[in-house]
Amino acid sequence: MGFTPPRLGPGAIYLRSLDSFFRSNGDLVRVAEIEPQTLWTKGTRADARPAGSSAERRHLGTLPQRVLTHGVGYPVGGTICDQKDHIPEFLAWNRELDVNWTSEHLSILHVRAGSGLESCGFLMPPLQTDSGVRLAAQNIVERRTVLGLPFAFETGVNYFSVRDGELPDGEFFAAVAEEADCGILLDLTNLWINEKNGRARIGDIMSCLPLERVWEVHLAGVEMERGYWVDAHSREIDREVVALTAEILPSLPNLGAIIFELAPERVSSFGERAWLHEIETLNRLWEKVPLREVSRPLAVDRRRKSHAGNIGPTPGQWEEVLALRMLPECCRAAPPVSCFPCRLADEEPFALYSHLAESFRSGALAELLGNTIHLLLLALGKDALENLIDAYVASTPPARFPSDEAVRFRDFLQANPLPIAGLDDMLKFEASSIEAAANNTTVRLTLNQDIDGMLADLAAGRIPSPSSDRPPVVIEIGVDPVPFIRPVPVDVLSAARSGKAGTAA
Amino acid sequence: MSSASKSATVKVPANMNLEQAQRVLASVLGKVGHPACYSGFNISFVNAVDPSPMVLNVEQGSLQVQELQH
Repeated sequence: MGFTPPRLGPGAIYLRSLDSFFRSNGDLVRVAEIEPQTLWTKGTRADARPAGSSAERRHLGTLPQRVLTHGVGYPVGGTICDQKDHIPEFLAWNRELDVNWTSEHLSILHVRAGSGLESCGFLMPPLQTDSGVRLAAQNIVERRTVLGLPFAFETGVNYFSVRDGELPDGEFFAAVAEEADCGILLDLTNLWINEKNGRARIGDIMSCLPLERVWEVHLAGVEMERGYWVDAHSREIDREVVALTAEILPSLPNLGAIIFELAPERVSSFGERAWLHEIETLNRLWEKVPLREVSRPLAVDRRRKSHAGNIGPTPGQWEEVLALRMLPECCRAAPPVSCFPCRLADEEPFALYSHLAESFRSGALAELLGNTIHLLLLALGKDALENLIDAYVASTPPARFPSDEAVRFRDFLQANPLPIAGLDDMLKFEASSIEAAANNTTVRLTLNQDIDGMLADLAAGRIPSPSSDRPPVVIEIGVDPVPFIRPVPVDVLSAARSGKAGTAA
Repeated sequence: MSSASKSATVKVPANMNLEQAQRVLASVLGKVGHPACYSGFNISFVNAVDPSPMVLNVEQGSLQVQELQH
């Protein structure tokens, strides 16, 4: 292993909503870990490639912190592992932000479906076999090569119980790291969750890991969902995890950064002061990291402690099961020829994964189509709205980017119309706003109702009044680069009938 | 927009106010990125449909879970 990470220190996942706190606390927050894909926009065309803004990259380049990147959405644990489409944009971000190393998840996101590739809607664990080790290692070597950067994989959460014939977690992580000759992003919260859920003891895992390969540690808050501890990034780091981290850090001679993670939708309830308090905790923990000059070579027994790993199923067969259990029936591939040995004990975890995946999908709709969802809630009631979302989720595959999820929901509602006054206009308005933002184009639409009046009614918790005798109005929505909404004069409309103006609704 | 520069006879309701619509558009711009990396429950929909959800109070450092009505 030729790379030794510099000692960057404690830091946090960068969130736009916390930008000012990063800038005003450079002494406390020494690393800004940026998840570039969370800042990218994907056009709503199926073949559109997501991309970020060069202005935002330049803005991030002025942060007082050292920057690391952490990839999301392109994990390295499966047979489908993009090494091409997202790479040029990811390279541009890494180059401009001058990162020392980058990382991604040792997980699976996309699987083969009837008509191509589809997202599971949630990061799924890989099959921990010898062939799984080889697959992940090949993916990592290729990713590192195309990025030209030192690369670390993140140790993931796994809500399944240990499967007979699989490598134990520690042996699997160690084997992947050694075979790929890469770093490890040790997510101690994930490991703690796995232990609390009964999957694997942290001590057993740590005894297997090549500790000199641990470049980075992630810590986050957890919560309980359907009887499982889950990696929610929702709150402060559990005190037990803090204590555990304090015990483990002195054994990590090459640690470069320790990062606190908070989900963006939790910031308002968690609070900026609480966030800073967690960073203070990380600063205290950082004092436990051994100095490089006094670190000793580690005497870790890396001999494989089990003879597992050579079980029959292949990673491809595991992904067939994931497709069968995580995708809507309509887009699954033909039933697998081979039968992966699923267990009764897999049922609850699969139900949990589906539940969590659905929460991300409905969350995307609530965030991007908030007024449409609010109108549906007022008109239908909570139970009927949830049934509607369930029906949508059951008939439409998850999208990687929320803009696509919102457009798919728009299409679903248009194919399954509901007699709710104003719904067409609100859906059209919000979906057009997303299309304008995602495609960086100007969208023109006709509204039969006063959109601001509708928004005011919804904000007050009222169902908007039915349309009056007000004539339809045509508006344009765009981003140039400042977002704008403007009425379109009628003679411009006449002149444009043969013109090129965007999507008319 | 190619058509936007053409001469105009504006006929828009005088009371047309797009201030709130502008806010909706601005908020969309910050939310179209890929979801962040976590393997938990996304609460955005729950927050949208139920302003006073049943929440789980998790006592730090233990496995005690208590349901609370907000």
